[in-house]
Amino acid sequence: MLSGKLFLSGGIVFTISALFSYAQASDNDAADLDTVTVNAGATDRQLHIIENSGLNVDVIDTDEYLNLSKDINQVLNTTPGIIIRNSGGLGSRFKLSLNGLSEKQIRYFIDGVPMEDFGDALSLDNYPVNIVERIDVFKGVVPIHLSSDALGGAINIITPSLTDSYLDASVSYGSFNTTRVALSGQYSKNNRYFSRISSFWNSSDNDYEMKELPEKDSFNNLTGNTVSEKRFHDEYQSRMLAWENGIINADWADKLSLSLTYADNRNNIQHPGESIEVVYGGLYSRSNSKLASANYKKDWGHTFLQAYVLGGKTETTYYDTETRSYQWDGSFTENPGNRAEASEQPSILDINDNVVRSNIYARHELNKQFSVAAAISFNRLARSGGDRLFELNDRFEEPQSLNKIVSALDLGYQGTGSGSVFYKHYQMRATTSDRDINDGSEIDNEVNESDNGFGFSYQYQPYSFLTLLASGERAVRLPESYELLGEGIFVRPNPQLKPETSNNFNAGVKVNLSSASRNYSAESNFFVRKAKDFIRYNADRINSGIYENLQDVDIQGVELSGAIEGHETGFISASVTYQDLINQTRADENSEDHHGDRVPNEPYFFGSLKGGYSIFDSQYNEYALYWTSRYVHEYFLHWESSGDSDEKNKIDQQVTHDLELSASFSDQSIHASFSINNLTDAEVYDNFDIQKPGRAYFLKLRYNY
Amino acid sequence: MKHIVIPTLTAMLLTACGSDSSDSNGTTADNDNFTFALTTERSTVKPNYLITQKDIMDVNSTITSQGQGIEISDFAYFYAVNNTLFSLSSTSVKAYAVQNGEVKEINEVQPGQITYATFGNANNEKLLAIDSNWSGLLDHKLYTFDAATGKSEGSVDLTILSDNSKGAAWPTALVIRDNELYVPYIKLAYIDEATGVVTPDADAGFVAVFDYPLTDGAQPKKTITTDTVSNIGTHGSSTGLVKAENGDLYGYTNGEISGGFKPASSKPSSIVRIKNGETEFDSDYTFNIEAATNGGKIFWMDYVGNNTVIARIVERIDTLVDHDQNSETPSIPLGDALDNVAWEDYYNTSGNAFRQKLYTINLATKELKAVEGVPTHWQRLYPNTEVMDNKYYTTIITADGAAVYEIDLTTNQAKKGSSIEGFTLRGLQNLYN
Repeated sequence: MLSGKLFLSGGIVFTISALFSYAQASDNDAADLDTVTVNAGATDRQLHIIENSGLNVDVIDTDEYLNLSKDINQVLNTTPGIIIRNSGGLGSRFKLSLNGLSEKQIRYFIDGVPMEDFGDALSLDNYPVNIVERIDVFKGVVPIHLSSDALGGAINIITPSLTDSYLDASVSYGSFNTTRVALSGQYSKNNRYFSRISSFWNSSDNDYEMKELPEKDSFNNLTGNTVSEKRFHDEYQSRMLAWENGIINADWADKLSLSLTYADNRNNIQHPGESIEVVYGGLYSRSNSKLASANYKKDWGHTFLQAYVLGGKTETTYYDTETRSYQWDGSFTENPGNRAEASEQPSILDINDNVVRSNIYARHELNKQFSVAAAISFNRLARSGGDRLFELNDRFEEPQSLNKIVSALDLGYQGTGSGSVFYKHYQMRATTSDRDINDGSEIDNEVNESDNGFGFSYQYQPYSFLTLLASGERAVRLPESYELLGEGIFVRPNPQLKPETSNNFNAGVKVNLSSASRNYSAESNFFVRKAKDFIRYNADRINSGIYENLQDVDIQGVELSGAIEGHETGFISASVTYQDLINQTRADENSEDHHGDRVPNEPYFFGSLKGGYSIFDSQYNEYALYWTSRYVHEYFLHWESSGDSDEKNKIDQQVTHDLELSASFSDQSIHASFSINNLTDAEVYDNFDIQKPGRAYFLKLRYNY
Repeated sequence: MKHIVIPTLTAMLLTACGSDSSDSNGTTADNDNFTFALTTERSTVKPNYLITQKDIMDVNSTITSQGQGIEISDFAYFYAVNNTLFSLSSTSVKAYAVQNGEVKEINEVQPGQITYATFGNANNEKLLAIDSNWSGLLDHKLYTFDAATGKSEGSVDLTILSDNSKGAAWPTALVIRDNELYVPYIKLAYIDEATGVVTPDADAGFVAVFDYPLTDGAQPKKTITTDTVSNIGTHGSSTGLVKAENGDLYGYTNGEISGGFKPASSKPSSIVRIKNGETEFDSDYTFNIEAATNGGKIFWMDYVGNNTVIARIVERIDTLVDHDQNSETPSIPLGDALDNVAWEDYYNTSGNAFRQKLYTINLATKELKAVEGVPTHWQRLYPNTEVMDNKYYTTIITADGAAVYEIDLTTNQAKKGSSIEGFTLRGLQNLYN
């Protein structure tokens, strides 16, 4: 009953928020510090709060990347503590790990709105840098305005601010027939009304060479030689159009807007995510997403209020209709018994998600030293689906829903140093409708769960060049509906499933020094994650499995980064991350015990080195050169201590270099760049045996006004 | 972040079962080297480490993958023919044999995705493997691998059921006698969403007979049937039918829900015979195992020579855990309704899973004896085993963990050997003899 009341209150909050109509969350308006705008006062303050919060946060300005052929993943992948593992080219499956935690343990936001279940067309790798202004990476400790169940941190993508009218158009073309177009523009009238669009269109054949494929004889025996073949069924297209209209700078609202987003993609799947021993020639997926949101924001000086409400629908379909077995050279044989490529019979599987999100965040400054803030967010996912062809596949046929409410309070302090303490309450309810096998009547299953989290952040600046930071949080990741309630006949429900929790702690030092000609900065962060009750699938029975709280992991790591920047001409920066992921799980009597061992198949030592140099000619045209090198140390696929070390499967060390040249003409409004990724054409792998693209060239033209 | 949700179904889960023995002629080892796959994780049945070591019977030591073993990442079946041990995953078939005094990989085949179901051998020279699945695979392929080289020799198409409308066949053995291939099978049919996959003809035994070698598009030249017993074999077994030295074929039946039947058979778990030279079941021979063991049912058996099998028999017990509840739910009495238990219970190591016993059965004389010195246990992945020095080795899994047991076939006595750090051993062979 208690949970019922709480959900009722959540519903009321949701209704209120709908009445207010509202806000792009959080700090999306955080303008670049040197782009002074009318409403910049509020947004600068937001950014200022984040940057002085004591949180372990990386604020990545996309400015330096705007002329280059990069997406968000490529930008994030040189950030300390982050490693992104790809199993192919554009649109391929990827896994982002932040300080050792990954997948659902990290939550993603766009302008403060949680992106989960927004569909594959809106995942990070689809976003070209040009429609993003800033990326905030919160490591381990997440501020309350991003109210969500993030176990290991959050990444918030921030779109350009409400500056004056502008237009930014870019097109990039290059290897593997890859085209990326980004267009964003805004029209602002009388500093009162604005209308803006942002859009992208991505397309790639992803037909890069797989250089180390085993050569086979006519009976598929490996000859011991290798052959090289191009990927032939990996084409990817995605597109997005977002349109936002609203009022700015009114007495009662700094911003009130309505925004509509449409996105879709088509992804041909060349091979399973974990292996290249099976090759697909027909399997593909399509998804489309439709989102509508209202956003509100107002800063009265001492009081700040923002809110949003969003509704959306995502439809994803997997088409597995070919009954063939393909080889890497594109040849195929017909399968026996009508067997499809990935499933036992031809299958068209639909997964339909309806999402509702809403959030209110309010902050009030009590006096010069103290402020209070509160946030409540409501997040609902309703999932349904089914297989159009393959009757035996009953996944998602029973509609499921998951409602989450995260409410949070924060007390901020600014005096000797600055910081905050906060508390978060997590509440969830998962439901599923099942049909009774005997009479077909509806049976409703429901699971309620709640948990609490709390944390702090603090920073102190004893000298102007030195900042000390510390932050901690007991973070919680609530189970997903299919983990609790099961899915089809092969995943059994586990109502006893507990949330994943992690005690996260960061301590850091930042040093900033300036001379007349240069800035020197260095940063070191030490992080600890004591993560418990990881939810893992356990195939405990011959024909079904169950999600259980199976794994505890302790993570300790250190990130180091430093940069030297000339005031006008060049910069050099480097970062390195070392993290120990130590298994704390005791095996049962029927499995080998690896308590105390390093978690396998996770990179633990990686870093990057970047440099840039630019010159201006007499017409103030700018010519720049950038260099990026990246290193990932080798790691084992399975437990390090098992097996003969000479025979073990491992993911080899990776060293890659990217070179970029750019030129900006005509008052910095026309730009051109040429990029070479993986300059040495190294054969690199993020996943065992799954080669990533080799050397690739891209040309990009950009116009901004 | 991105999830490729592909209904790979449960080829892996459904077929997560063991391999079985081939070479069981009781030869004396030239060299006391044991080669086996150590499966380390119970929940995933992978990875496996292929280990060769001298002693597996030291009760004070453990068999471990620490620092040793050839890593085999995926779930795989292990099946030996002559002195070659094959590991067969759904995407790769590797062959291991002794080269320059060491066990090494001698060949790998990457044939695409194949759900191998059942294995056998041809004259101890070739490995035979057939595919199947639960959702109605009507046409199968028989794959042949050469034991000496480990190389694939390709496949031929065959059909086991002539009537495609009534369902699918899950083969439970591949036995060659003279110039014929015998394929017993469990009959499966998908009915509808509510009912799922059933065993529509659980009260009859079937063995399809093909001319061997097979030609492409082969059909059975005859299907031997009997209505005295259930379908022959259990799902996942390759020893549903075994061949004695005199050419007689013996098949076992299980027929209970916990052995993969839905509905259960009304026929008792039994052993039947096809005599050498005959192509019908021997109407004078039926060995009713339930009558002989107070309600027990054969779950698996392994031929160990001289008309003898080691059988794993599920004991009848009258108290079972309700499988729909969590493991903390108290046991509920179900009377004598053993057949009311969903078969999944049987594969869960919790609760009352540990109810298998080993028996030695003389097939010709119907003499049945419990093996002495083996605790009641659980085992789904039956380790395929070579009889060495008239001794049979197997893994015994109990609530306390797994250990190797050696069964002296002369005395019918078992002896506990090394503990296993991990789940189980499979494919235990001497590849040096």
